[in-house]
Amino acid sequence: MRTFRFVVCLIIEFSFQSVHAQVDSLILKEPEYMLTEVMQENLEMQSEASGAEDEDYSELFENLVYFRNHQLNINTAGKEGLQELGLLNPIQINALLEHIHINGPLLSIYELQSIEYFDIPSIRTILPYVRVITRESDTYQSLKDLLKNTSQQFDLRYARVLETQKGYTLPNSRSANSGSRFVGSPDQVLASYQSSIPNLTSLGFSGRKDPGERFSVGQSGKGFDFYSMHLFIQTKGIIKALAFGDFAMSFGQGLVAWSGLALSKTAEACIVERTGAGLKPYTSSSKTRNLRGGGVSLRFGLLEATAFYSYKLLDATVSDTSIGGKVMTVRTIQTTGIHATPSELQSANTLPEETAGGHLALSLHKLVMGVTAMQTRFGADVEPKPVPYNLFEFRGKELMNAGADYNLVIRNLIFFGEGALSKDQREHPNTAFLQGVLVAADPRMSFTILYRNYSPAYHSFFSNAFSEGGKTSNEQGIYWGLTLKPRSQLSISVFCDYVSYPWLKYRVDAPVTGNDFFAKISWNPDKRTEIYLFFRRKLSALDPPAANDPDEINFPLPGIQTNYRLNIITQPSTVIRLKTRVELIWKTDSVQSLEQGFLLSASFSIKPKKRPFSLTGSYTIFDTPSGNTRIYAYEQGVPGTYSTPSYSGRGSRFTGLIQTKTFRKIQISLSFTRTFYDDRQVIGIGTLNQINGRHKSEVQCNLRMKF
Amino acid sequence: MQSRAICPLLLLLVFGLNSLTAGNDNLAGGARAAGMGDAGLCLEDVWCTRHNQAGLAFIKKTELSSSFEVPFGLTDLQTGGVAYAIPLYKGTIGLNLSSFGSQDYQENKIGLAYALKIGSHCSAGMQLDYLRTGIAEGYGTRNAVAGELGLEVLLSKNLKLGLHLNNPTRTSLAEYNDERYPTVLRAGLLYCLSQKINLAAETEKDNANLPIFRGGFEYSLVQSLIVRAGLNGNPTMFCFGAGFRMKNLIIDTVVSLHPILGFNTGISIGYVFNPKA
Repeated sequence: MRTFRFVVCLIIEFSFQSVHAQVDSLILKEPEYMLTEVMQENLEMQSEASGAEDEDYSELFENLVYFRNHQLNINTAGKEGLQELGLLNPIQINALLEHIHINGPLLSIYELQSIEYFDIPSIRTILPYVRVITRESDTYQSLKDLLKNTSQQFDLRYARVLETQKGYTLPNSRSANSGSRFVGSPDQVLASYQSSIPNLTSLGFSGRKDPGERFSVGQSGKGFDFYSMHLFIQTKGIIKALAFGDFAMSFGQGLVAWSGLALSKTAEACIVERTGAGLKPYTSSSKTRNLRGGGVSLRFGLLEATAFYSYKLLDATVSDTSIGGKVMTVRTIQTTGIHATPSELQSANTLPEETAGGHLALSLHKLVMGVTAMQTRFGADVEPKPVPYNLFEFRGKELMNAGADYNLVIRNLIFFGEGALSKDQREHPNTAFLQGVLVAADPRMSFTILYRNYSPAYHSFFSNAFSEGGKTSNEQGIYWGLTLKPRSQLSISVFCDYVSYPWLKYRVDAPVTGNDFFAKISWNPDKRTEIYLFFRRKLSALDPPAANDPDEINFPLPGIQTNYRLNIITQPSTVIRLKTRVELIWKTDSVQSLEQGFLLSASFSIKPKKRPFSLTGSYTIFDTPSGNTRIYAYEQGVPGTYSTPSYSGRGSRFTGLIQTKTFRKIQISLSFTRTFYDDRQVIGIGTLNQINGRHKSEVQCNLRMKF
Repeated sequence: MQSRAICPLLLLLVFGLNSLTAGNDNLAGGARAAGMGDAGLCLEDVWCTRHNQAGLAFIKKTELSSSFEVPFGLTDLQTGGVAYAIPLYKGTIGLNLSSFGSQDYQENKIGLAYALKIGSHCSAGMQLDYLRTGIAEGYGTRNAVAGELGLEVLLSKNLKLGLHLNNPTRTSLAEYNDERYPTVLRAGLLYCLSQKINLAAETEKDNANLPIFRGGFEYSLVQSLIVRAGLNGNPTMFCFGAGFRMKNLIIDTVVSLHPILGFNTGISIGYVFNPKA
């Protein structure tokens, strides 16, 4: 039987020689941190939804970077490992496991093609990260083996805006107020070290100083503004994971506990289900998403039990202190983690936050069920500003959360969901609920429906579930997504999301509704070219722009934003890759004035064969009437950065990035960007980042050592 | 034959003669198309008498169906209808009755259709409509006669194009303000991805309102159960449907969600007659 399969595999292998070649070229060419086009698009959509341009998205891709260096053995990965890869949908994972269950381990990577729901594009996507080995020991045999597999990486990153920004100048003598200046230098410095043994341990340290923050040396100085340290151990035995220091956790669909990032609506319309990864080491450079303490995950057969504890000092605006100087009441909790101005320094580390919780999961063949419980306690009362939109905001010192989640596979249907309760000082607990289904109707078509209902008074300080508004609170909605591949070169992705907010929000003085429609057609005429066209129409309601008086109640009016984009990627030779993008944006705001914006961008990347360097450059011209019609576009930066700058106003932007590898171990990357504005004399007027000039330039460099 | 003719009348009575109406946007179109976001232009069933008469030419068996919906739980907006199609030796004839509204405002329609295959890839159909609009409190009623034209072309084995023109004669409703029944042109595609999956998309434009885009699909989960979902562009409605097939009986249901008005539910029950033994 196995001989027969081997022959079949060989035949498949030969009959797909072209794929073979395609695949190999792909493995050789793409550097480890290069995102695929659809991932870039997903980040652009995420940045647009959150409004954050320089979010550290690395944690979303750290698994890929990891598997790039330590390829996952499909035969032994199991459900967990395949989920961790994050590139296969649950139906594919199920089909693959079923195939292995029935036919025994895969004999070759090309056997994937014989499995239902695995098409060439999806195989091509996972190929750099996986391998097929029939016999392999999972444990390290000797100390020598262990040392051989240990990898260490040191990163040093530096970035700076070259022009003088207002925050770094001396205060004007007439309005002598030191509060309006940054306390430190405009340099950004990040240093990190990580040592890991795959599937066993990870140890890491990192420090970060953001622009404007103080880098203090000497006796009183603590150096970087932010430090992070982690030690993480995982085993195949009872102790599944053990975390010390900074860690991340994610369970269920994220209604209760999901400390890291997660994408909600993306260009992959059917990928809305979350798979909690449990405890993970914290490797992001973000200053606020970590949990600080420890956690343990134990495995008893089908059961898995996790407990964690974290104690951190948060930044909060203090509104009341006791006579002894103890913080009694705080108004708002800051989440930027930046301590660059005196007022930011004043609110730094003022609110102690203590969190303890646990998760219990039962994994059966096709059903996974879990319960989560968590308690968060603050060292002072949280008392937000008494305005109508804060009516249901969290108040008090303590919050209890509990939730139950499940995931069920029946044939080609996947049901998933979570229900959660939160109890603060209000009399009754408040609920949040999410339920979804993914139907893989055909290998060429799948669709998904997701319903969520988060009550306005539901809170969790670590939730990050599927949402439009970015908060797992005050939202109801129904989402409908479809992906279709009528031909191998053609794929269509469509989603529509209808959302309503039962209570007011900041700058939205009434309960409103909105909807969001997205359609994308992509065409890959051959392996070197990818063309996609997308359309997005988003209706949302906002208070009129002129309404600034916070005490006045406004009538939010609907506004419609429409985006059209054409994106063409082509590789005329194996050395050069070109990308062209045209984007149009139309926006009618709440007072029905139409704004039109335009962006045209061309970029190239050159990676000569057998030369240890690569070169990337881009030029973008943009013309949008205001910040309302800003356009987000991903830009490749130095390793470890994922920048999606937004373009608004009239101007152009130039980017250059050079990366070299010397002695095979040291990689140096250097980037330079300059944005010219033709419609203004001063950039960022009125802010501390104000530049008296028409251009803004930034340099970044990264030094990476692997040993 | 005679008993068959009586059937639709009986069903019409069952579904409440007190609320019979018809009008251009308030027509009973069957829950199958409604479940796909009303993108029913190229579907092949008895409700072609509403969406596109040309599709009747592809029907192989005599079929009868009645449909009923109560938009947003408002009985004043209820819509009911009956459709009937009989394939003949050459071509197919169809009958469509539709009614909308309550005693205060009613729209009724009776349509008689004929469709014919032209070659193997194309079909054409037409329908003659009798329209009645009635308003209570002495405003009286208006009657009019209008027509509909339809065309369907198989572009490839699994892709079909449909076109439909409603009321090309711009039939007058009232002399006051030169009020006319709307003239509507619809164009759409139906793609059969596999035997289990149909996808439909269409656009509609009438002489007064904004264009409407619609799309949806149906997926036969198991032989007797079909699930559907769709999107109707204006007003934005999410539509979900389920269809049940039991021997000769066809039951389709739909639930659609309007962002502001809430849920709209509908059902249609049909019967497929076996060809004469």
